Amino acid sequence: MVNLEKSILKNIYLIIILLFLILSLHRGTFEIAPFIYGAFSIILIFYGHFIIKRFYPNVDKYLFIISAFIVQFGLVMLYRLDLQRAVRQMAWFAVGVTVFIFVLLLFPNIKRLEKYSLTFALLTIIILTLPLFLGREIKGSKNWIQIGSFSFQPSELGKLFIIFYLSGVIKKINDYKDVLRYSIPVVLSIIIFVLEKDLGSALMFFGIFMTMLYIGTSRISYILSGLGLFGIGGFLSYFMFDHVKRRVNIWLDPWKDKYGAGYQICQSLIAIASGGLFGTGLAGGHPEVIPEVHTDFIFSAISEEFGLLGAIALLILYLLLIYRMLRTALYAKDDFSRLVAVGIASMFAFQVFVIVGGVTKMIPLTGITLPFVSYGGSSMTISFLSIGILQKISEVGNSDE
Amino acid sequence: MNEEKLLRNIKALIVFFSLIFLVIIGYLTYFNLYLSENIVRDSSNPRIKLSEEDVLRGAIFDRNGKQIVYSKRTRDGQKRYYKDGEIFAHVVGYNSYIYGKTGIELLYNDALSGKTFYYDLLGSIFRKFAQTFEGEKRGSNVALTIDYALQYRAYKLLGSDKGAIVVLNPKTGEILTLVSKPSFDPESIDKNFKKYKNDVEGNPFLNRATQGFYPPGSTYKIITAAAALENIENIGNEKWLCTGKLKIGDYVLKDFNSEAHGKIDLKKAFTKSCNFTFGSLGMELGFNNLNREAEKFLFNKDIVLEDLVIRKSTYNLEDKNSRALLAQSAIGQHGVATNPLQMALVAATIANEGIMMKPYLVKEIKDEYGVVLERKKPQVLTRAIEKETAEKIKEYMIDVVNKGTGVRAKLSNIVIAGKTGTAEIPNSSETHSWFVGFAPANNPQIAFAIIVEKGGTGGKRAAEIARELVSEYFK
Repeated sequence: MVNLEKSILKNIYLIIILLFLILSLHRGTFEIAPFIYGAFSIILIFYGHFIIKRFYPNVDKYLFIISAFIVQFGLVMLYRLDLQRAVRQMAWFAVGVTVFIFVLLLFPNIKRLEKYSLTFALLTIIILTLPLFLGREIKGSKNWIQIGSFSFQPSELGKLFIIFYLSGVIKKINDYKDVLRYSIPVVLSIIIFVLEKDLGSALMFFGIFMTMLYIGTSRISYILSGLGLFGIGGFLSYFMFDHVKRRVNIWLDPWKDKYGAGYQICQSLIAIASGGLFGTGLAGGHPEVIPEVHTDFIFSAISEEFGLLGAIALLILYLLLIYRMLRTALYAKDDFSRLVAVGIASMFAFQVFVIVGGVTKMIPLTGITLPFVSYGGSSMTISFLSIGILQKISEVGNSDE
Repeated sequence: MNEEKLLRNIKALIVFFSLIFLVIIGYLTYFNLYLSENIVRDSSNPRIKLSEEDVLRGAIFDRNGKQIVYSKRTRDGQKRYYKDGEIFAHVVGYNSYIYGKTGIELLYNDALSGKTFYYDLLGSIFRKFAQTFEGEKRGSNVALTIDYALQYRAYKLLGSDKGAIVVLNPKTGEILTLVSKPSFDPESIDKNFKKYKNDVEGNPFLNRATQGFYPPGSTYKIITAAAALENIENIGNEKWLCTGKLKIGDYVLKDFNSEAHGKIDLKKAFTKSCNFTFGSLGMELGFNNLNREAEKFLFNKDIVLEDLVIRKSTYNLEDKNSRALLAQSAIGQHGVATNPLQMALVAATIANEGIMMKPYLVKEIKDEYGVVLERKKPQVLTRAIEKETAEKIKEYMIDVVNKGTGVRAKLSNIVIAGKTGTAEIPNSSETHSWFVGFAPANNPQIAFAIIVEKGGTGGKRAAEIARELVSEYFK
């Protein structure tokens, strides 16, 4: 087990070195800077792994290893696209690893949070409404808070709060009346998201809720009525909100207005198509022509340069990560922790599905981040916080064995 | 809460998420296999420009190595220069990132932009390697079969008229001249595209030489004569009494100025372009013979060429038994429509003993170091008529220029064979002026077709252009 881990880590280091070797040579001259950047990355992974191994030899170390590997896709891509952002992203990676270690070392047993359900519900609503008063519109969505030069996306933290809330209340559900009562914070959140034009988060909240509801109650009828209501809501909001209508129309035929409203998605599709099976090779394509390539469309950039194979590899890494999360849920000691783990796993699964499906035009595009990969501090920090919480659950789960 | 149930649900969730990811992967694979090909080619793909900007686009030369089109580096990319742009526009086409590409710029885009894997794999790997060290990537050059001086002269000869001129080598099919007027300037295409596009009257983007759709008029008598020679025995001895007016039921087919040629044989009828005789021949031959002969010259057939797109010429009568229509079709006035390139091929077929060679525009492709990547070889397009038939018609055509309707094409030192044509324009008193032929008659080196829209009779404007062209070529 330990040897396997070591060999996996060694291979990850090797891949990082190779990727940055390409970046140091691609302009025709040898540059040292990419190696320094890559070395930072390796040190962070090594350090994070060292702490887990040193203090918690029994926990599931793959949660961290896989996450850290996924982060490399984003770092390499960002380094190639935009050096300034890449440096900041490396800082966020460091923050993420730090948060992860802090959670691991300082957090109480997750089970103790079970009794604060109501607090989490209130926190969710408060934090999600903040942008309506303090926020400003970025990229057509009013879901940011800006304090000085520091901007923050509260929906990222809101996702975790709602998961904690749901984990606490879902087992209390016995009938439809309970479903209605306990779903009030979720429904409120979704309405807020629609008002903030943050449809991606609305979709994710709904996905997380449905998944946890089914896992906790085993009642398929709840899910079907939930889907039905969501369908009606979606249908109505298509006619009520112009921004919803516009997104759906772009999805149906982006090429109609390929230099206007459909520009982003068309450029994304062209990038993915340009990659082919093997990709153009790192730094061999032109993903920089896609607007917002460093955040929402980073998957398209990866598809262009790493090809279909690279994109599938990344998706498999996510699937492995989600599998390890659900495995953690299986081995957890109490239902609350289990549900938290399930919630976080479905959060990642839906987030990847929504954004990858969006940039490939499988489903309508809604701007959310690709966890661990997209540029951005909120997303990176919350993703590592989530991994930290799961690690904590896994630590408790394994501690008695 | 039943713990067992919870665990079972979580396991089911693992399967569910695996399926979701499988769906994404499946969709991505489907996208790559079936959708991506068209998406990459979309004009909104900036990569096309980016990758082409990277490689200095290759030049286009005439048959003697004279530069026609070339590119130069600028501070922010490269600029393409077209020498005598309007004169060569319909051959080389244009190269625009907004409006796309046409002509040689389109058909030989791969070679011009340096993608030569198709021509020689090993060499292109070597070139890539060499270019990496030189620091400048250059595309390959295309040498045309076009003769710069002759093309230039042909363009000027058309003056301010609309029309087209095609000159080719009847023995090889190499196109020496291909002019269409009005023309456009490829160098300023981005600026003037809309102006050209909106010019409905002049339609400068229309390549009249290959896309024209004109009645061939009396030049079509070449084909009718071939049909007569091949289908009617002893036709050489047959005589007609031309009254200048051929009555077919209620319809009267007139000769030019209703001139009565009197007693006349086929050779003389051809020389004088006698409508009476050819109208009678058309009725005698009938639809099947006329149609078969037209198709021997590839009317009603798709001619697929590598370097050009040629519009299908047609021979078709709405009533195959109508004697009036048969008579009119035999003199190229009704039911027949063609383009100058096709008529140049008809003349070339007579010049080349009945064999029609495949016309082509590109002589060879050379990489930037001068190594020949591909050299085009002459190919036979079709064996249209017997050698004897061709020889006879050649004699007729020599007479046309010596003492017939085409006398204005006559040169003192070179024997020219030709046929005039005056194509009537429906609902108009004006006519298109046609002249097709070849020279020198005994050993043909060029065959040509000239049309001047609304240029009057074929014996005047077009015949004079033919004379000037031939003397330019043999000077």
